Amino acid sequence: MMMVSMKERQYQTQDQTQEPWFNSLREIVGEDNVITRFGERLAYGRDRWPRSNLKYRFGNFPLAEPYLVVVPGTYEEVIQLVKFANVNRIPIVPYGLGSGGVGGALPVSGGITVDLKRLNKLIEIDEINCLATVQAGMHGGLFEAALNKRRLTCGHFPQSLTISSVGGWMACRGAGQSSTRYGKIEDMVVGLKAVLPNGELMEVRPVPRRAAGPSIKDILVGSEGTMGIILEGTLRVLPYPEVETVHAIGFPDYLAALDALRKIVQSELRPAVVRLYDENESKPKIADYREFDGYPCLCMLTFAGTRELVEVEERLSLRICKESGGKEGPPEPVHKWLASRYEALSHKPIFQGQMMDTIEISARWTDMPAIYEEMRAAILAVDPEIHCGAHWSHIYTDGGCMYLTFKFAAPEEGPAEAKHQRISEGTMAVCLKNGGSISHHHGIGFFRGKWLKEELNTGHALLQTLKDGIDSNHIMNPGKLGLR
Amino acid sequence: MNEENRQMNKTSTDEIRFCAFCPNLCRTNYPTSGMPQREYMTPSALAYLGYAVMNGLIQYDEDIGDVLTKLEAFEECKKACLYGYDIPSHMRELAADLKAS
Repeated sequence: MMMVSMKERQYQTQDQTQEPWFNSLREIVGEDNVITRFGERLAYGRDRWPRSNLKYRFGNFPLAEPYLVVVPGTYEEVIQLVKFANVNRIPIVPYGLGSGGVGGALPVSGGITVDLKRLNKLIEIDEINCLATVQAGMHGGLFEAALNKRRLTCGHFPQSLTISSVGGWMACRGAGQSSTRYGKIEDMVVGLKAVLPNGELMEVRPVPRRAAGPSIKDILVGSEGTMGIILEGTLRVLPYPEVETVHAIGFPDYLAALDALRKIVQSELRPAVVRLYDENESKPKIADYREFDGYPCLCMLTFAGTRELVEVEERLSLRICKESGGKEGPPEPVHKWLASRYEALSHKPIFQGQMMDTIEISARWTDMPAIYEEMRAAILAVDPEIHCGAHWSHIYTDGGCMYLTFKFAAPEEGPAEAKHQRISEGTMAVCLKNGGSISHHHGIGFFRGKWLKEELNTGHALLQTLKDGIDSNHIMNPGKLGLR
Repeated sequence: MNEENRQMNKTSTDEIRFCAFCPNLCRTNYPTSGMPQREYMTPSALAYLGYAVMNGLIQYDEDIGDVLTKLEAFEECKKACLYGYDIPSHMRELAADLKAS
C-alpha cells in the first residue's frame, strides 16, 4: 500500500477554499461547520482499526488524507450535501464517533467526511409501544442513560458503548454483550430515516413485522455508509430488568462448555451475558480462585428480567452446566468484568509498542471447534510468540460468535503491518473454508472487503448492482464492503 | 522540537502519548450542547496532535498551535478519565513550550 505521510501532506494539500465548489458547500452547512485546517482534519483520518493507529503512531495516514470535513446540523443539510457530492463527483464518508474497528469511516480517496455529531437528539420515547427514536449521532452511552431514567433499556451494550454512536451501531450491524437475551442491533431497529446516495430521503416506517417485500431497512443496517447516510433510527426498547444475577462456572475444557451453552440456548433459555473463555483468556481471570482448579475454562452467565423468570432461567441453565461437567465457582471474576466491561483496551498495547487486533466470526456449533483450532494455528504459524486467546460471547440455537484476540510487538511499522496482514489472510481463509462468516458484529469496513466477496459470492455482485443503481457516481463511502 | 529536546518531563509526554491512542473512553462527558461537536476537540484527537508535534511527525505552525489550545471539551472529559490523568495541563504546558521555541 502506498505510504501517505502526514508531514508531506501537511503543506501539499491544495487550499480547499480555492476549489470552485467551496462556496456552495459553505452555503449548505454554514462557514463554521466546514473544517479545512490540517490539524483539525487529522482527527478524521483514523478510526479504531488497529492498522490506522499503527500508521498514526508513525505519522502516516492509513489510506488517504481527509481532504475536507463538514458537520451538518439538519437532515436537509445532509440531503443537500449528498446532492452536492453528486454534482461535483466528490466521495463522501459518514463519520460518527470513530470507534469502528475495520476502517469503515476512513477516506479511501480523500473527499468530504460528514461528521454526524450535531445530529445527536433523542427524538421520542414511546413507552406504550416500547420504542425509542433517536438521531444517528447520539452517543450510545447517553442514549442508554436517557432510557434508564425512564426505567427502560435498549439492551445493546457493546464494549464500545461509551465511545460509539447509535448510528454507528446501525451502520456496522453491531452486537452488545447481552445479545443472547436482547438480540443484535438488526433485531432492535424497526424503522429509520436515511439519505440515499442520490440525495433522496428514505423513511422506513416502524412496524413490528411485515411481509411487504424484502427488508429495505436491512439495506441500510450493516451498509457502513455505502448505501446511504442513516439519520435516525427507531429502536425497540424494554423495561429495565427487575433483577440481574451473575454466575461463574468452570469447565474442564472449552468443548464441554460449548456443549453446555448449546443446550442452554436450545432449551429456549436466554441468559443476558454469555461469555466463555478459552484457557489462555481464562487464566488471568481465575488465577486467584482455587475453586477453579481443574476447571481451566471460565464461563460467565448473567440473567436479567423479572425475578420469577430469572430464577427459572438460572436454575435450568446451571443444571445444564453441571450436567455438562461444569462447576460453579465464586462470582468475583464476573463482578470484575462487569466493572470494566466498557473499557476498550486497544490503547494499552499501542502505548507499549504492540499491535493488537480482534477477529469476531460467527459459525454453526458443528463448525466452531475446527474454526477455533485452525484459526489459532494460523496465527501461531505466523509467529509462535504471538499472544492469542479466544472467547465465545453471543450464542444462538444454531451457533455463535467466536472472538479471537491477538497481539504482538510492533516496534516498526512495515514489519508489523506485514505480520498483521499474514495473520488476517490465514485466519480469514480458515473461517471461510469452514463455513463461517468473517464478521459477527464489527463489520467489513475497508479492511475485510476482499474476503466479503468470497463469503457472499454472487450476493456481493448483487450488492454492487444495487449500489450502482442508487449511486451511479460512486460517491457514497466508496471502497467499503469491497464495493465501488 | 521532539521528545529528546522537549522541556516537559517524561510523565507528561508519556501521558499525552497514552491519551493519543486511547479511544476517548471519557467522551461521555463531552457536552452535547453549548460546545462545537467536533472530533478534533476530543481528548484523543488533541493528544494525538500533541504527540505528532512532539515526535516530529508533523510540523508545528500557527494553525496547529491554535488547535492545540482548544481544550474546553477536553477539560470536561478530564473529569471522566478512567486513569485520573490531567492531560489538559500537559497540553497547556506543551503549547506554551512550542510557542516559546
